[in-house]
Amino acid sequence: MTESLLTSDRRSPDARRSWRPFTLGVIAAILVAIVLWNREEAPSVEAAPASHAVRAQRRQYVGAPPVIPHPPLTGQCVTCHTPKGTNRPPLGFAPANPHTKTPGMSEESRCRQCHAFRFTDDEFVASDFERLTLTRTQGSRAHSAAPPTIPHSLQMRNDCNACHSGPAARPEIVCKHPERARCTQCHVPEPKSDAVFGVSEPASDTK
Amino acid sequence: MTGQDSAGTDRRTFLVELGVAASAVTLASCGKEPELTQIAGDPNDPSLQWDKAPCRYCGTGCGVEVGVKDGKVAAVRGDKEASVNRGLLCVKGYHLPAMLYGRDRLKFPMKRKADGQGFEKISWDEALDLIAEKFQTTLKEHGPEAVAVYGSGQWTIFDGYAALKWVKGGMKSNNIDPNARLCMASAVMGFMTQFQSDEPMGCYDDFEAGDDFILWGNNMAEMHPVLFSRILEHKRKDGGVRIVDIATRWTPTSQYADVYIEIKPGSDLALANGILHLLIASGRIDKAFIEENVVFKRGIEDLDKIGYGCFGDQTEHYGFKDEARDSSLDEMREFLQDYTPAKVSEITGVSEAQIRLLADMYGDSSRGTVSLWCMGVNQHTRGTWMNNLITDLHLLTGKISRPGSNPFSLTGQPSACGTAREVGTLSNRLPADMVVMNPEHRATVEDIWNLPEGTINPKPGYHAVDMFRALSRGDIKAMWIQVTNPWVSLPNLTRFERKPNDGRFIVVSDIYPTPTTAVADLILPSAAWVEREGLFGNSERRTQQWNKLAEPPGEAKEDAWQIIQVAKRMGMENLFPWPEDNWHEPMFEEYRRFGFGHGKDLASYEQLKGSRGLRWPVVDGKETKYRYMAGEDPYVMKASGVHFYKAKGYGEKAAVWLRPYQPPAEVPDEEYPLWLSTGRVLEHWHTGSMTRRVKELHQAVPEAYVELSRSDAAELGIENGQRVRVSSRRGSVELKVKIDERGRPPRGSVFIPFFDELRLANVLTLDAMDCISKEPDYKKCAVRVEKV
Repeated sequence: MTESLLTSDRRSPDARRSWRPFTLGVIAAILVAIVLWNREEAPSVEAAPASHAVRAQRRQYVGAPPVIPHPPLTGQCVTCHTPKGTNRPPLGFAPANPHTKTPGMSEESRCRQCHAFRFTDDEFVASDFERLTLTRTQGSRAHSAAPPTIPHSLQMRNDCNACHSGPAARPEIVCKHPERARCTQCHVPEPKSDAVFGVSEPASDTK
Repeated sequence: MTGQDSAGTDRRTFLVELGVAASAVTLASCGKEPELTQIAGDPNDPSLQWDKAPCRYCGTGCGVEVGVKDGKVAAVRGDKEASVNRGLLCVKGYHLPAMLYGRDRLKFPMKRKADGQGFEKISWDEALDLIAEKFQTTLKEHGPEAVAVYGSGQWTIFDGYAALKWVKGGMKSNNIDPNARLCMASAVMGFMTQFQSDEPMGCYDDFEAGDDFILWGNNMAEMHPVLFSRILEHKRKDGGVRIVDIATRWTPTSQYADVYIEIKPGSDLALANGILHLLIASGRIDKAFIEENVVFKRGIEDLDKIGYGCFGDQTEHYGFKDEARDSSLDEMREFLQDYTPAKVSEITGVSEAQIRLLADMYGDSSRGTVSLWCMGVNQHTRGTWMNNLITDLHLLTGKISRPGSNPFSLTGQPSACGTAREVGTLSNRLPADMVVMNPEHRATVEDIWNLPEGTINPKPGYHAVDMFRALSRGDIKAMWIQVTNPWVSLPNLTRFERKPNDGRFIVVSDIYPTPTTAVADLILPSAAWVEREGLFGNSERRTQQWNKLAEPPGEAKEDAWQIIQVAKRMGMENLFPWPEDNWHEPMFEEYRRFGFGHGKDLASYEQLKGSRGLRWPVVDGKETKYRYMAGEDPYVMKASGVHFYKAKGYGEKAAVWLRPYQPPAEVPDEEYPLWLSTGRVLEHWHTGSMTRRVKELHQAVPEAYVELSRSDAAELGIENGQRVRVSSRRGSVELKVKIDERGRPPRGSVFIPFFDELRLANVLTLDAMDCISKEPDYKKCAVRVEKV
């Protein structure tokens, strides 16, 4: 008994030494393969902020509502896309809903009135539409110490923090002082960004 | 864009099949992003020019700002200054720019080759000469009944007016009808039979003024999403607001409704009569209002006499004419004895409690009630009757022509009101509510058009469905189709199959190849939306103008120009006496003359150019929100209340009609046990010829499908995503099944959207029509579903 136990004890570390590296190696290889596979074939959408190029690909033009980059999930959009966004491991970070402060919109608004899923390109007739994308990410400054202007339209984007802070914000547009709540106190929209066509009269129903 | 074409298609398709069960892996997989191939400037780029336009798609008439770069539309924004939408759009509106740039845009006139196989490019001169010659010859050999123009509620006012003048004033024919016959005709006849003037009295301001919004067969969340958003916002601010969804299937609209009332297909007539019964029986009607403003009418109710337009001797021509006789409130009370809650509940499947709830809502004089409807009521074998009954509910309770209380008919096309209804591009109509049958009306038109007496033909032409029946028979020899796609949208499509070289000559003007251009003898490339100057009129009587903002591709030309050029070649240049480089404004100013002084006054072109549209009647530059309302409508001289001044034939009162319930033309049986309803989805517009060219919209809803209830699916052994064959007595189509997704029909019903030219819903539908408006019923026929 004892001998056999001893024998067993003596042989056991050897055995462990012999299979452990192999098994660990296999596991590591699988993990690496998964990581590589995911990196090459399927970079995570939500785990990291979308790059400039990826962001552009989700919009028909700058200012268009982005398409939904993930397949339909169970539940409501606002379950994850809260006013501040939610971390949803293992899916990733669900960016904030930027419309909760938009006049006329609320969390009950119907997301898919404007945002569409992407299923398939089968049967799609090719298009020659040239995508308009943002070529400039910085506002201009009146002088070197002045706060930069806002280089985009604010329409439907009334909650600056939704895009300019939090884990889903692209690094180049992260706000360094999110605690200062009133952004437009210092940053003004560029006149062009919300330019309305030049009609001579106000809206017709001001009667 | 090509980078995205090749990327991950199979994978995404696979994901769809997986359905909603998502894991980290599927989520990550879907995220494979295509390469960026094009960066073309910046919205703040000074070279981007912005101007206003109404959206191209539905009858809501949202204002968009259009950003143009190098002659091409590059971006749009919801126009915050537009009172219709206040900056919000829907997914179709936001993705408007790419609609113009599908690679297969038609760019040159093309003629069918002599052997009938394929097309060859020809010049505009050759094309226009050919049309003029064909129409001229047909007129000479076969008379004005052998030519036809089939137009559209998407025609601009210019297009429709040019076509109307050419057909009725030039060719002395009344064979002009729009696709609006397929969608709005029942609403037209509803308003005409009750107010002797078309179009609603209310406006979109009702969406903030009303308390109860009662949707009759109207999936507003998908079909008029921006207007539905206005109601939802009103409800968010005012907790007392209620939305009632009366529907034959559960839709995204139902999700937001306070009350969902499921009704059996076609039984709405019984439900409305059931509500009227309760209101009159309990005295919850406004007797003073009725005394002052209402007359009672009753028409022909003999089912054998009326028929459905598709059986027996009505299969080729449906010409039933209603005859009105005077009636009374007492006769109506008697007539409604049949519609007790118990009996109505049996016919409709609606509980007695819900019938009583609806009566309580209409009968509560302290609350504003807005009834809303669109295709569910209009595409109905008794659609005019149903329009009448909804308006009856408002007339008997006095809930009409005041803010927050109106019967409001929504329109599906951007200018169904502005062009088809107001210009009167229908086989029986003339501008501003006039008709060809009336000698005074004909004289008025001949006077404004400066034509000899007797020019306008007094006999109405073919309505849409009969027009295509006549084409199939060979009675129509030459037809011009503009801005519409009948070989996808007509009911019972296989009836209208067409082979080239059959002795007919069909011209089709469009912007993309469609199943309709495929059967044409001559294809003309049209300028679309902001590639030309235009005017649309929306659901709330708002006329909206836009300038030409972008260049049309190739040699594409606007539809009105095409008609004017052909008319000139036929020696009818007197109809279009304006200079080639400046005809829009003078044409509109001539057209305006029809409405002056008749309560149909339109704003001047100059005023329209400088505004986001105005609601007619526009008198002294001021628009009218509520027609017939004292203090609002400049034609009403009373100090208070309402005055239905257009209804001269009823002593300037509105008519309440007694209309019975009659069953649909075809009902499910053992062989075809399921109801079929067809319709639209949010992402696609009509036959999809535009929205299927927009990648974001195509990706979202890439193909038509059939919605099936879970219990029917279980019984048939069918699972979500599986392919099935749906068949009716007229044809069959293979589709993917959707169970419990955005639309959920009850047991015994299925739904198929009609946008997909590769899977035609209309090979299944029946060409039964409304007895008065001759609008087909796309909402009710019998089908069966089988596994393939």
